Amino acid sequence: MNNKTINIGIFENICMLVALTSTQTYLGMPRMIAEASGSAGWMLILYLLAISLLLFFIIQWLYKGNEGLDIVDISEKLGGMPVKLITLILFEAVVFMGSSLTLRQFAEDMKIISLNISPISYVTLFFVAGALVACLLGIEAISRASALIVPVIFTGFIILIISVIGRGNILNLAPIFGIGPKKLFLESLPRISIFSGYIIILITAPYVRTHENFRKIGLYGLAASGFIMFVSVVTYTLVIPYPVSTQYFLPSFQLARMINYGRFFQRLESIFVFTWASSAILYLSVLIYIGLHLFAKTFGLKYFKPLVFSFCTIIFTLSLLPENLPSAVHIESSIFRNYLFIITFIYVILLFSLTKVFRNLPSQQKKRGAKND
Amino acid sequence: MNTGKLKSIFIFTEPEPKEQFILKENETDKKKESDSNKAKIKIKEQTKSNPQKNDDNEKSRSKDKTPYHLTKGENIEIVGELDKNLEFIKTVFYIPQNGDVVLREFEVIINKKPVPAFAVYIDGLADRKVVADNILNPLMVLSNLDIKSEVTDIMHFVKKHLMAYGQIMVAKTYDKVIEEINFGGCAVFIDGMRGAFTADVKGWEHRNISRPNTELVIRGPQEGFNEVLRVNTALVRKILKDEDLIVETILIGERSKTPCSLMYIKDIANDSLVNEVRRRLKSIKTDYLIDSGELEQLIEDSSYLPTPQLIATERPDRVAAYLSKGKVAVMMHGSPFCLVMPACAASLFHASEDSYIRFPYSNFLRLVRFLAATLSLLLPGIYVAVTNFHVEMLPTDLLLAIAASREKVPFPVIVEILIMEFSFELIREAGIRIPGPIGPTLGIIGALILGQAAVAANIVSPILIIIVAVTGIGSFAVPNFSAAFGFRILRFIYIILGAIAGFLGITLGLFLHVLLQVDQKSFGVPFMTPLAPKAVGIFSESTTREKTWNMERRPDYLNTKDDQRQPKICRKWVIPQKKNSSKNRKEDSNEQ
Amino acid sequence: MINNMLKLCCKKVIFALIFIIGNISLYGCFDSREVDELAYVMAMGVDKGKVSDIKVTFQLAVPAKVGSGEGENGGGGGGSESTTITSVEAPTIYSALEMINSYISKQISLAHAKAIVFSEEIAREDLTRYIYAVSRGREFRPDIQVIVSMNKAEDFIKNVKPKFEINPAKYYEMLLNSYSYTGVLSKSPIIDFFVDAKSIGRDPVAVLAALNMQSSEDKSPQQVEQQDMQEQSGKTPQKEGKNEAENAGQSKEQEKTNEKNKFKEEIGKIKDKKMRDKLYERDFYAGILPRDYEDKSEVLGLAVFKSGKMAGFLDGEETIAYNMIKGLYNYAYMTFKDPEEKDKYFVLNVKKSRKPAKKVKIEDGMPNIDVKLELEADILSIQSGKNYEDPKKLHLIEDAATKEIKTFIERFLDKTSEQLNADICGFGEIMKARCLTMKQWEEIDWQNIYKNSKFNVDVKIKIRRPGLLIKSVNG
Repeated sequence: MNNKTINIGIFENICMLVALTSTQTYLGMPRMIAEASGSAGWMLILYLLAISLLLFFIIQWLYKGNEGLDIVDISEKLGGMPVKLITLILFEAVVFMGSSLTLRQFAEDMKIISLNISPISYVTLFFVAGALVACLLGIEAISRASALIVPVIFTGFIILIISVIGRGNILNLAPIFGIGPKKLFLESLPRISIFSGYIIILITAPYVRTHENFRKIGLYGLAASGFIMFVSVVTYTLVIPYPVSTQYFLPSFQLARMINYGRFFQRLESIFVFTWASSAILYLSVLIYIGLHLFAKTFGLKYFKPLVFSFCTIIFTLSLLPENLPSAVHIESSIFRNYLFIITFIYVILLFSLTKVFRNLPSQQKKRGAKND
Repeated sequence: MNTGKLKSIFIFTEPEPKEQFILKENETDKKKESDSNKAKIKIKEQTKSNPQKNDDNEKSRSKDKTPYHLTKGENIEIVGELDKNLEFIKTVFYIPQNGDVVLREFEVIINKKPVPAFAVYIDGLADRKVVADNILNPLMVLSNLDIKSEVTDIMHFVKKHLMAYGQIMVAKTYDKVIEEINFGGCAVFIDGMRGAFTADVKGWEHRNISRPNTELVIRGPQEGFNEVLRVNTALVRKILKDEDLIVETILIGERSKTPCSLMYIKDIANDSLVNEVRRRLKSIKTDYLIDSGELEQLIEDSSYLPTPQLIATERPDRVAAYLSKGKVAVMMHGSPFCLVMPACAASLFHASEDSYIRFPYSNFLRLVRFLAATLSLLLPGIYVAVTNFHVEMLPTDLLLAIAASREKVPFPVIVEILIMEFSFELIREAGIRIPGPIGPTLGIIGALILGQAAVAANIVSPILIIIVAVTGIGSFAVPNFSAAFGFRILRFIYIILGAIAGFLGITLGLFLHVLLQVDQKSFGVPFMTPLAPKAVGIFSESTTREKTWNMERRPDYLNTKDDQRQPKICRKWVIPQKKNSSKNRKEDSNEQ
Repeated sequence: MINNMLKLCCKKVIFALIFIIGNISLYGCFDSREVDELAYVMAMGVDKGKVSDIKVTFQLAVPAKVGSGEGENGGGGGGSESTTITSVEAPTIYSALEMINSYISKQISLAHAKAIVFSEEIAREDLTRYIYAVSRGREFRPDIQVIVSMNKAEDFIKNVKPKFEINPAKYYEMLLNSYSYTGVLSKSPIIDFFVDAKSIGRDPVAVLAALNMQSSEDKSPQQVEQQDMQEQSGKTPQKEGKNEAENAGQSKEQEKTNEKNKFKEEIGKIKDKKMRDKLYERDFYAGILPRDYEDKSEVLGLAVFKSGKMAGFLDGEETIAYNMIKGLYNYAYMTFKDPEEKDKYFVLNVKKSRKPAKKVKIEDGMPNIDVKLELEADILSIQSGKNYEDPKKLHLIEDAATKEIKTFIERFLDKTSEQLNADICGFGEIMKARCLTMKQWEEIDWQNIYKNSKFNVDVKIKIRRPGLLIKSVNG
């Protein structure tokens, strides 16, 4: 991986970030937020967005001295191989769990939407095939493909929102504080895990080179994905009020089913399969690429291409592990999303701050000495 | 069965260290620009006095040419004895077996003494009249005149006073002479001269300049290239009367020795791009090269991808427009199609008419073309997907109509579609070769009547006829022939994907298609510029056309030396004129 | 040698791959169903069954009759030939689909079902269990209209014979969308029903349908006379046959008279309730519309539900009030008594002007609800010919109309609170907006205190246009 020749622009990175975070709107995120907050989902999202922007601000401030280094390089700077291994294990856990759970949920989605009787492995194959080819082609192809596809997905999303919001009833946002301010603000803090898609910028940092770009990408990307999530949660709450909104497994599908303009524009939900499925494949590609990149860089491998098949097979198998759909959803919302923020936010802050604090470590001094010579 | 390619997917092999060419921005470009502007003025003054450029070209041509098999007579110097020369030429050209090689022996009067000489040319390639009037006549007849000259050397004497023709060169080795004769030149050997004169007297029969066959426009010039290289380059030069327009000649092919011209504008085009194109052209080792289609396949990045990476055009105005944007063009002798590189995805939907009609109309047309391309690619696939998997999407009336018409048809939808598509392709292919006046009529009649008959015989349902017809028409609406062809083939893959898994399959197909396109590079430029990677700023080649008076910059991705195309306000009449106040009048009168 | 082994290995791998991929893709068109392999259900009906729990009726479209456009004259007898109707007894709706495959050759697709009709029996017992089944299935459209039929659902569906449409689905859609240009119907898509049934602050409604109660045989007056003459002359061949015929004739006659009596009874009831001798257009509900048409089915009014069970029904007037308060009202033609000439009417085209303003407070544990409606109207007809269009006299008819509308809205609101205890207008939702948390809202226990509500209704009508005539002159 030649760092000098690959150049990824700001817009492509923002698109990848948006693809990572806002894919959850097509899964169960609005339902999860409705469960956690009643009818005050919008408030919760804004609150979580503010907190994650704050945390990202801290992260990018701590990143200042490390321009052009990605998270593996920083771990190496801190403590060499052991720290790299810790980073690797934590992030690989994130990658494997996240991608296999998402894969399973998206395949189940597709089974509900159109392919009722096909075996789940058949449906999963489609997503895995797309992610496989994308990872084989490398980060440049993935970033450019996301720069092309994410605006289309966004347009589809806006069309969906506009078509459905006429059915919304403003009274459904009542009561204002939903299930109570204490539960809302204190007990839902772990939910900032929904914004953990920003880790893509930690991997592509060497390709954007400057700290200014790093900051821009993170802030704009988080703001954009926060906007998308906010709009989807608000629309969902407006159209389907609180206790009922916790019942639907596929909130955006349900919204799409309700598009009804005259006798012609009915039951158009299958058109949104285009945007949802591409969003899913893009999410998987980016996430699996993160896993591959970390793995290859930690162990100093020159090429990560041989790993692609193995990774995809492992993730495919993992996705078939949960016995039924409710258990997969349960694992994702109660276990995965509750503890994800520890790795993506807290661990990263810890790592960066330790690097700043221990700048005068002898191993680092040696390196700097070597550089000067 | 080519196992190598499949093997390389599954079993990882370390990639060979191939040079990956990337068109980078030169950091010193901006500095160079200011320097080159200053230098330009000097050079202009110089070149006006010294017509040295032709010689430079010739020198570079002789240095770089390395033919695959040794031309006979390479590096053999021409001797002064005429008999030996005559012998040599007779054996090389198989005279008198070769019927159209003409050998004319005559005598020239030099220094009041007759000197034997002979001329060789190929009848049919060389212009007989020019040979007679401008070469034989002066040498044979006018050498009798009293020429006031003090030159005693035969070569210089003849060259300066007797060869009354413009393009004369002196050849010292036999291979040059042979080359020249092969391509319509005339060689003159004179006894006592250690060398020969070669004159470029090409004059064979060729097609006149006529309308371009493939790219017809309503508004715009109606000239198209023909098969003669010099005529084509002249057409381009006629439009761009720029001395910085460089036309380099490169010979490709051992047997055919086809001259190709590499055209670019020196102070706009990026040097590394030009060097890369030249490198690729020169490193082609092949037997013969007949058409620019073969050349395209030899120099493009990847022949497997569905879209072309070069633009092939028949119109000189289009080539001139591309050259002035900073692209590089390659023209080949014997082919009316000129290749322009690098190409990007947006140019597949550009027609030359876009610049000549007003910009809202051209944007509308681009939208129509894009829709047509999408239809030609996806429509049958979507039809299969909707009717087989997503029946709830159709309005109930339409659905019942389709169900009623399909009740009588024995085939499943996918078989029906494949039958109709193949028969459409058959009609299309056959229509090219049907002779004369029957051709177009049979095409239309075939489509209509066959379609009607098929519906009446309950082989296909009527709605399918519409779909196949719309698909076919859509593929004709795409301006670029290769791209349309690519879509025609990919259509079948989408049909199969749609039949397997409905919209999910089509989404997967679209995703993979996008990935492949995005990964593709055309001469170092990522193919899907300007969409991805995103280029910032107003650039004059993109998906939508900017207003003509607003197109200030050249495309960003070409990394040209000179970015500015027209100043910020190119229509000077827009700026209001200053009114004359009393102050101004005083100043004016002072100035005067 | 290793190269050769690798080559062989590769060839095997490649063959295996082709085999797998080919297998999956060829036999694997799992969900692909041809268009002509499916039978499309246009409407469903649910009745009480004798052998099993429910009796499900399906109205299937016959595409060959519906869709053939070449050479046949527009489908022959209209809608009746383009569908077939079948009923089957089963414990649940999905099991009915299972059983129906034994005699229907195609697979049933519910993707185009437009209406689901429940009989009154089932509605009064418990409707929600079937609503849940329909909400969970992805094949059902969220816009399926829920219809409650006073007769059996099977009879209702059998009697739907659209004359203007060949496609029965179109008939349902157009009929059930007519609430946008009339006030006496409303809509009840199943998604709204489901959400309302599950919310504390609202209660669901369903469209009311029935077969017209007037005589069930459509004969012209001459035929009726002939039959009367025959019965009078009594010329029948044999005694036994005569007895049987007489019996049969008698039972049929009895049925007819029963129906006629019932019809008269219902009309009488309405007259008493509205204190009118001659009924207005908005006084009817499904089943007793005084009309004559060969199609017996009619849809008018709403059925009101409380906790999933049908509590009562609304007639035309109450439906107008419901529409107005809920903001679904567009326009309707309404008749009012002329203020000065007691036996003449004036007709207004009453349209909505602004959204209704609703306020809900809780005073002493009782909800206090204010409703403000603003309407505008065009004059359609003034039977007395008086010059009401004069701006000075306009207020007379405005006041008369206002009073009438206010009366029936108050009547409606009292009915929903006292009689039915069903908050179908959604006042609970407005109350919910005043709470800060869900806990507060749940403490209010809206479902139980709604019956004690006090209503304050304020209606304003402004007459805008008088049509073509701006002045009525006394001739």
